[in-house]
Amino acid sequence: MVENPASSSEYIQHHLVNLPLNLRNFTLTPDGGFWTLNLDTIGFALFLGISFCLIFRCVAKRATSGVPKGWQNFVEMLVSFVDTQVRETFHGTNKLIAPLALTIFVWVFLMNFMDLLPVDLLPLGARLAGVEHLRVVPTTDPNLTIGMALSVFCLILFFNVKAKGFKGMGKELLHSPFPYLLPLNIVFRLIEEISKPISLSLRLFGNLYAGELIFILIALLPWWTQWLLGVPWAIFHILIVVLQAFIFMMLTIVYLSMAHESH
Amino acid sequence: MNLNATLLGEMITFGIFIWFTLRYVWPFIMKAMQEREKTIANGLAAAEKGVQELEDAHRKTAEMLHKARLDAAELIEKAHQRAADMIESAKAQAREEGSRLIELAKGDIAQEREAARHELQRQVSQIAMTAVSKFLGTGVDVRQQQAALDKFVTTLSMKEAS
Repeated sequence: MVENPASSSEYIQHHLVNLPLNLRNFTLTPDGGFWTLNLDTIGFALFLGISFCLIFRCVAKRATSGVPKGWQNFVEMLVSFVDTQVRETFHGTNKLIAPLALTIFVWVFLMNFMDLLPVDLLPLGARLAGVEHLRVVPTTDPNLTIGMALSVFCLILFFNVKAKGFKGMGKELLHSPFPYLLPLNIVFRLIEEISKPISLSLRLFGNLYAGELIFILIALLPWWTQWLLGVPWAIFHILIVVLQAFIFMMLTIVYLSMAHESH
Repeated sequence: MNLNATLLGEMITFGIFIWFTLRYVWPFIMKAMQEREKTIANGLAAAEKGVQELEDAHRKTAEMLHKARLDAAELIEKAHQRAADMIESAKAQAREEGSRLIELAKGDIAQEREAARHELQRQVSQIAMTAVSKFLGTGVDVRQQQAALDKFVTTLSMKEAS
């Protein structure tokens, strides 16, 4: 809780700065330009992703075809859910799509879920440990969402080439949607393709960033009103957290299936 | 919004996680699930088959029971028939035997009577011969007389019989 407006805006600003690592001189300063690593984003993303991998790996190792128990039940529920979505959307067989979708769904969900931790809990701990800035929700960092979207974009290109070959893809690029309207077709196609990673990344980033910002704003209110707004927003945010993870996964599947089939 | 090397780091991380899931997580879980699916499907099919077999068995039992009842009824019917037949034939045989015995007795009686008559005849003729020889002396041709006498006796016996 902060009293005056100046410190309020400072508080907000403070919460929106990443923990930087300058890759030029390996100091924790933000002046590295492009060669700066957001340690908090990378760290939390890695921690959550590795947790996901380890837990799922443990379950996969011990998976029995008998009666599933506990974690296996949970994991199988997720796996069959993702598998159903992929089967319904992606026509054709590809070994990559379903594991990719599962990874996206669980990883993005876990990163989004960090938003439901109290905004000051981990930064406070970090400050006690001597770290000035810490942002705990990796998906509020556009670097992560754009990174993921670019990876998906690369896969879209790869699938295009794989399904149609360079020749077929070139033909499609030149002759659709309008036959023989070459320049227009290329412009259309470029816009279409480039809009995919942008919408994919900015949607996730925007939703989570806004959610985080509202939590920060709620944290600025007097303590006795916080639960009044914080609780409904947190409950609503549970929905957003799952929904955004699902949308990212679903759109990835849709884009890849579009790439796999001809226009 | 300042893009920096985090982006590249996240792309690499993302790629590694996808590879890990693809290689070490997904196939194992899918395999377990598919195997279970198969097991369950087999179990359900077996249950279905079991129910079918039970139904068949019920039907077969009912059929067998029905047939057994029919057979039993038929056997009882046959036994009754046979018993009646046996009684009938025993009666017929007894009747026959009785009449045969009567016939036999009648034959015996007739024979006895014939024998008695012959004996009587012989004795009468002997008496007559004795009486005649006494009456005429000894000069009688026995053989000649005997024939005449026999003829006489036969007439006598015929008279007696009538």
